Amino acid sequence: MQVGDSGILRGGYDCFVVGSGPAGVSLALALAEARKRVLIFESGDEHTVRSELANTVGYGHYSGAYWNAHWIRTPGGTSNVWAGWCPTPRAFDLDNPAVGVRWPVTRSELVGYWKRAAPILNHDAAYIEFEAPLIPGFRYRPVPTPPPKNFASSMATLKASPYVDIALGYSVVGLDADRSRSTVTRLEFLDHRLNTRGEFAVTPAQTVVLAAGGMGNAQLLMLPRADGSVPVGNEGGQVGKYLMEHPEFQVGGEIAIDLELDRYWPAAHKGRGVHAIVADDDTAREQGLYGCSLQCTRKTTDHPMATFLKNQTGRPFYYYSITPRAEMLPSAANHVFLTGERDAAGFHRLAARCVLDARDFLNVELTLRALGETLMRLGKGRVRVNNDRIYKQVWGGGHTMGTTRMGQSRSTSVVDADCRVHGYDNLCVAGSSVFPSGGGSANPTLTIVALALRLADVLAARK
Amino acid sequence: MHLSRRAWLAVAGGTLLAAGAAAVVWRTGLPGVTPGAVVAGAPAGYVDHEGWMLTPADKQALAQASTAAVESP
Repeated sequence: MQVGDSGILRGGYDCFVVGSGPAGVSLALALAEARKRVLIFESGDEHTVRSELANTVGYGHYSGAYWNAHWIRTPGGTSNVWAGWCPTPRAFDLDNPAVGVRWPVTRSELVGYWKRAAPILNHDAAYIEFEAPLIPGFRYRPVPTPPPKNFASSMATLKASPYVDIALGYSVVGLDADRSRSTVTRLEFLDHRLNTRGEFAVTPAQTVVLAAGGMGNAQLLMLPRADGSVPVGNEGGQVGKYLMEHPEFQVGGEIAIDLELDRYWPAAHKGRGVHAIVADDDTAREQGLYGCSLQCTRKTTDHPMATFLKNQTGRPFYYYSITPRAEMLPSAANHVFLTGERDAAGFHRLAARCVLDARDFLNVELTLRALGETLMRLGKGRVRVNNDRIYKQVWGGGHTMGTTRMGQSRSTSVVDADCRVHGYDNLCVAGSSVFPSGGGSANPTLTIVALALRLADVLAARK
Repeated sequence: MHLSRRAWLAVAGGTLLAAGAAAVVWRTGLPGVTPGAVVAGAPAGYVDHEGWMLTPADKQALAQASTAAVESP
């Protein structure tokens, strides 16, 4: 049911979920299936996007307006602007010690959750792992693009559930913990409609899950406390660090190749997708590369380079423009932090500093050059590297990742492999803020939902 | 200490060799650096034509085609 009309919030919840985006809704519905009672807090309501509460300042390669465009405080959260892309990280993307990447969750464990997440996102689970050999050293690994799921459409299901209440127009604005900092004991909220504050006492048997996005989760765990003590959940001082995006370089490359990529898309798959070429694991390891998907669009046989190669060889060549979508290496220097300015809910305005490393740019150029050299050696095509578009026109996927990263200890991360905040029994985080790396260049939503389902399994197993 | 000219040469040569090897190890140990290009020191396996990675023969053929296009009536 929706609470708020009566101004009364019921008690007896097993779980409080903060945020109603892909992570929060997937988690709540999975918990409801396990007969756990859930209360979801969502700042916005059906008629309001609470944009005044998503007002980041941007330093580095991405502006504040850029981050704010992907921090949507309304039912459905960021899925309101999601394009539906559902690739999965490769094993190499989750475990690449050469660049300091090692997820505490194994890929084989994630595969089962990706398959469970797929139908939630209108995706066909049969194609979760689809890829095909293309040329030696490179694979065809398309990005599936099913119709985007807007989780705002799940509100009716949530309201109909006897196990879920949803508080629209309520922001969580405070967390308290016990003296030992092992249990959250109180949750404070703001009712935007009445402009009044209220609170819930939280028992050790109840769990608070932050699912408020890459910015919102960090903001909640950095909330200053009246007594000046460390904010709840930030005892290790790691909250806000390792902010990441997936850098994107529009027409960073071009290709003329004697292979028509449409032939590689599985005929049985009715869904849509974007053609993409990736270096295989061996090539990536040999050349020190990391996540970079060379996404090929705008096919034509009329391009001068395709015509030239056809005249030279007598075979047809196909031209595609390439938009590399890549990974940036996690760095503690890229972080979100509080400014001195406060918004209507009392939150400190966030600043986000995100600077791509020289290696992140070089990774894209070298991936393109490795493909170019291979095609040239095989006589199967040519590649163009558009230097200015790679080094001077960086854009991104709208993916806010890494501000409450997952890891082994409090000194290097915020949550453990179960997405539980280190040291706490009843405080968890859901969403891409827990990603320890970009997961290669893979768009995060499928993995966000997969990790939310995995967290639901953990919480459902609690007595 | 008195060393012969040959001994001095051997010491200097050895030092240069060790320094060179250390530099190669350091460069190739950096993530994201292509080991082959640094160790081999060979020229790139392509020529550049407005960003396109081409063979020298490609570039020559393109130049000839371009000239022919200009010269044709």
